[in-house]
Amino acid sequence: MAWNEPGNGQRDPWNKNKRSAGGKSGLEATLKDLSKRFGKLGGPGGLFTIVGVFILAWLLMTSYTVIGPGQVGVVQRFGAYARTVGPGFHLKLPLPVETVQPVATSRVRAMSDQIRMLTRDEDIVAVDFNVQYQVTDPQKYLFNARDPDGTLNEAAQAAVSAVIGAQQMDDILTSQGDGNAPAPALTALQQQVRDQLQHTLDAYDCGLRVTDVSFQAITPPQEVKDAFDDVNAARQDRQGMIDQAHANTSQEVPLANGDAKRLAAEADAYKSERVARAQGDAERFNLILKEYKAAPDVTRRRLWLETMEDILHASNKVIDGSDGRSVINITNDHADSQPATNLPGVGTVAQPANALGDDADKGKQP
Amino acid sequence: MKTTAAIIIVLALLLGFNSLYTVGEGQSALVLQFGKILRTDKQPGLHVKVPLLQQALTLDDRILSFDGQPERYATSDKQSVNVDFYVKWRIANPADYYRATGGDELQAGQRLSPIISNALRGIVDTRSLQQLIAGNPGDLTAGTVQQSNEQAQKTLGISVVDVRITGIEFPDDIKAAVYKRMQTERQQQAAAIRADGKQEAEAIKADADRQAQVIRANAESDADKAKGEGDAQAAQIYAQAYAQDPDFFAFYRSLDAYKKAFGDGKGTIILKPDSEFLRYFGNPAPAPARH
Repeated sequence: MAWNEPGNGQRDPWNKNKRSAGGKSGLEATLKDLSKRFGKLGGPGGLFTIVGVFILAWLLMTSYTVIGPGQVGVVQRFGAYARTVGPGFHLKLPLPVETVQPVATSRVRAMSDQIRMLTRDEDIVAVDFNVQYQVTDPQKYLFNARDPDGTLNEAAQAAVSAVIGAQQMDDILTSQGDGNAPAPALTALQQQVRDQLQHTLDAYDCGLRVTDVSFQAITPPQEVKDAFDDVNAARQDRQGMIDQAHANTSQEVPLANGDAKRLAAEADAYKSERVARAQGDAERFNLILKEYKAAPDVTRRRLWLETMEDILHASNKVIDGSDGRSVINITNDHADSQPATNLPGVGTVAQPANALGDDADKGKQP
Repeated sequence: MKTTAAIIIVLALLLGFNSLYTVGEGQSALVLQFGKILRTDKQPGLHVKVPLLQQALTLDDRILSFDGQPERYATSDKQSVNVDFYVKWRIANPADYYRATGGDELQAGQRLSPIISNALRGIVDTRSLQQLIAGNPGDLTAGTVQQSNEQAQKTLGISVVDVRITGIEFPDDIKAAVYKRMQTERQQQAAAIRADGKQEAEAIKADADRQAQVIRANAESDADKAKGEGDAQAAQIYAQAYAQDPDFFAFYRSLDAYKKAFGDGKGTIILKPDSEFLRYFGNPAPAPARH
């Protein structure tokens, strides 16, 4: 920072005095030396010699100037502006006729500051800003305003405060972008400050040109920082909730699609089965019908008998010769083939043939 | 003799130097005689005056700065604000300036301060806080410059070059309330953002539910349709087959039904001895001719 900080050596108003003071002390030493050496001569002759040497040395030492690189020297003759010289060694008239003030012109100067101000919506915001500038006219820089660098600082504060004051708090905060690349809105604000600052400096005619204005940081005041941070956290939370919802529901539609496919497959299977069975049944019916047509009575009877056979083969059977007024006890443990113990004369009923015989006997007894 | 000559030469030299003075670039000079202003020299360079009797006083002719103390003002909408400003001024009339301030810049600043403050108060008074903050700064202070310039020229020999507001702040006692308000606003904002997130998440969930439901409903309807088609095709096939002989179908189908209804072996079937099934059970005679 120090390399381009204002107030560095070159513009020190004491500089030239220091230089001449240095010269004087050098001269004083010389003078003492001389008076020692020529003291023994005595009288006014000696004094004149001393004065003569003094003047000669003075002329030699104050008749040139050396201007450093990146500087110019503004030469004044009896205070009036005489000329401007570039870097290097230059001859000039001795002091006090001509004096030289060096001004660093090619150096980029910079200033940084932080100010607090009100925004248009009456919030308070703190802005860190940095201004870079150059001396374009050393003559104006030296002679038109006292402390042009301080003036620039003040004018910059006024410009920043005016530009930021015209904004809404939220617009300013969001204009900063994500911190990597400055957003266009921020760039526009910086440009506004730059223009306004340059305009002010031009009015003061102090030979300065603003090369860059940048906002380092725009922050809410420390007192309310937590609340502002919470707004940012809320934005994160919001996005989090949305992302979470997407994650939670990402399976739902594919699952439904899967269900739909399964339902469709099941329905297809049902349909195929129904049709196939119908075809099978129809085929069977057709075959039997063919037989039936060939021998209707026999087939009819055969079918009937086969059916009855099947039915009665599997079931308990009772032949009831009564007129229907008496009730017959029936063993009904056919399924597990347990012997019926409480009925005399009845063995196992597991075999339908036996059961039929037994039942038939029983049926006939009453 | 020689010593006397030397003294005379030195005195002459001293008087010679005392009769000269320089006015630097960006300076002006007043020539005073016993404290009375004789003339003003603005031209930079070497100038001559009467030695010993007259004095030369150099003044800065450049733009000078006065950094005002922040002052408390009330805006037209009755808001209290501290306005911080700076003033750029220069000596317009060195003689008047010297008479008013004795050439002392500190005193000049003290004299200038109330003039600027009053002019600024006039500006702030007639504007709302909004106008003050967001107004064009040049327009804002142009009136101040003009007004204070007239007065400063007249009384101080000073011309006011520019007045600029560098900061408008609430006084400390109001600041706390502003911070409180800012905090409340942000809390509301954060709550609104979170609520919005919740709402959007719910919307996403509802949308997914709806989509899934529609997909399932469509699938069920399609499945029912396919099943119906199967049933219809089957019915058609059955009808086609059975229509060939409805009477035989009735018989055949009845037998099937009997088999299903009674063929599970559960339950007991009671047969009358004279049932058709038992026709030959105890009687091997041929069946009587039927029909």
